Amino acid sequence: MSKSRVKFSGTDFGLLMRLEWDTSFPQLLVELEEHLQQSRTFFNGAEVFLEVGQRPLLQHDMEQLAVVLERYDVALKGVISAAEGLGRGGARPPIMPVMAPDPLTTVHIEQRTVRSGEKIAAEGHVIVLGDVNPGAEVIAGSSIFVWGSLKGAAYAGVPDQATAVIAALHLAPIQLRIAGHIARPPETSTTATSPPQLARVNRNAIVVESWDRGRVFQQRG
Amino acid sequence: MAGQVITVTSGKGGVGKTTFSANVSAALAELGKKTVAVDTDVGLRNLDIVMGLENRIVFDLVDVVEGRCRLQKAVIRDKRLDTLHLIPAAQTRDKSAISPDAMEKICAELRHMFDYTIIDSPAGIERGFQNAIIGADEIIIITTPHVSAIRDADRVIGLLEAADKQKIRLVINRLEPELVRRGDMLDIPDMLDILAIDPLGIIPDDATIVTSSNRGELVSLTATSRAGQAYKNIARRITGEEVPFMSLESPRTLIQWLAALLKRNK
Repeated sequence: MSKSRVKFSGTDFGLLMRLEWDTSFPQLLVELEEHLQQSRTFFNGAEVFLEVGQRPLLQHDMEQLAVVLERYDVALKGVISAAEGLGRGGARPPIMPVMAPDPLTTVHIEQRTVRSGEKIAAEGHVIVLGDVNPGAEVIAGSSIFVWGSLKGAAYAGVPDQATAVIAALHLAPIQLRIAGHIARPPETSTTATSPPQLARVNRNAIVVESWDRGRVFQQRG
Repeated sequence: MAGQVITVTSGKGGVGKTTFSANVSAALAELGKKTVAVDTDVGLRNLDIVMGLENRIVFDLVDVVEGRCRLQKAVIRDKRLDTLHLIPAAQTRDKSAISPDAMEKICAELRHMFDYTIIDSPAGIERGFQNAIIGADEIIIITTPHVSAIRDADRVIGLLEAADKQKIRLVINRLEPELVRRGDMLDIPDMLDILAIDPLGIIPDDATIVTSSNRGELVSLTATSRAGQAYKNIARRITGEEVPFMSLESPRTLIQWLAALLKRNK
């Protein structure tokens, strides 16, 4: 078997994946897949950085690479590229890993009335500027903020982010879920005018409190 | 000038789409507007019965779509008003007999033939609903003051917004002012708050609707009915006229009037 053009090496900040760019990208993908196949258990759940040197990485290539890595449950943590204009023979430039953004901190904003039968889902926080009507669902990997009435269902911290919160100017949901905890409002209906409220997990249960200061977020770091 | 195509829909069944379509079409026709009511509820046609025109059907909407007759041939002229017309649905077929494309073409043709085309849609959000809304310039959502009807109306509004229908107005049907006053029925501000679209009219519950529907008579053509008055007001609002919303309190009986008088003098 010929020498592989896909090399892995351990570094200070994690597993580094280096591709020899003198061959076509599809060919590299095939070799990468062989490599991952052979050491399937080793790579399962691994986090790698991709070193691309000075080669520009096309979006199309990146997407294909992501598909292959996902198939073997390998997470791409970052891409390392050499700055332009640096000679090959010279001293190696310091390598700075570029971290992929944490999906839990991304924000999805929805500016409209979310109506019955509609579903909004995002990996990070969800902000709704409008009402969430009965029969609608909002699902977030992190927290949910509704600048309006929340009358539908809200599932925050999916699947297991217990620090997530659900807050609304008018919190009157059909059901709330935070990281596997489920709560429904009391059977006696609340009044139409209530102060803004916030739901969070406290001692394995969802508690609802008035949402009148920002301290609750700072405490959670 | 090209006419307007208006679709009447609700999501939920039994809220009064067909009665509304028939009565508002008649009220528009009475205002002198050349109007056609189109039944798109293929397989469960009703509009012809409510309008009392069942025995005049020769061709229907599916005959037009499948090329057995020209559109003009399927238009039935009303027995009371020269300006009122009906295109019936087929009873022996189902919704798949009409495609959205065909319906869009028919709407474009009707727009040139009539001032107002009122399309009565079937319940549900499937093919029949898609057929009914595709050619519409305006949508009228009918709901009753029941939580389940409001929920379905909300769902339908969401679908219409996704289909980029800009002009959507709300009609609240079968309101019982007495129940609302006692707090036993959703009130109008609550409904408008949830659905967040402009109101076109409110129709009080009226027992005369049942008897007249069964006889193929239209309350909007009789002077005395309160629901009929509400339909007439809605028709005038559709033509662009500003008509104030009518008071929903039922007129006082002589005894109630006397009681109120005595109370005030105490």
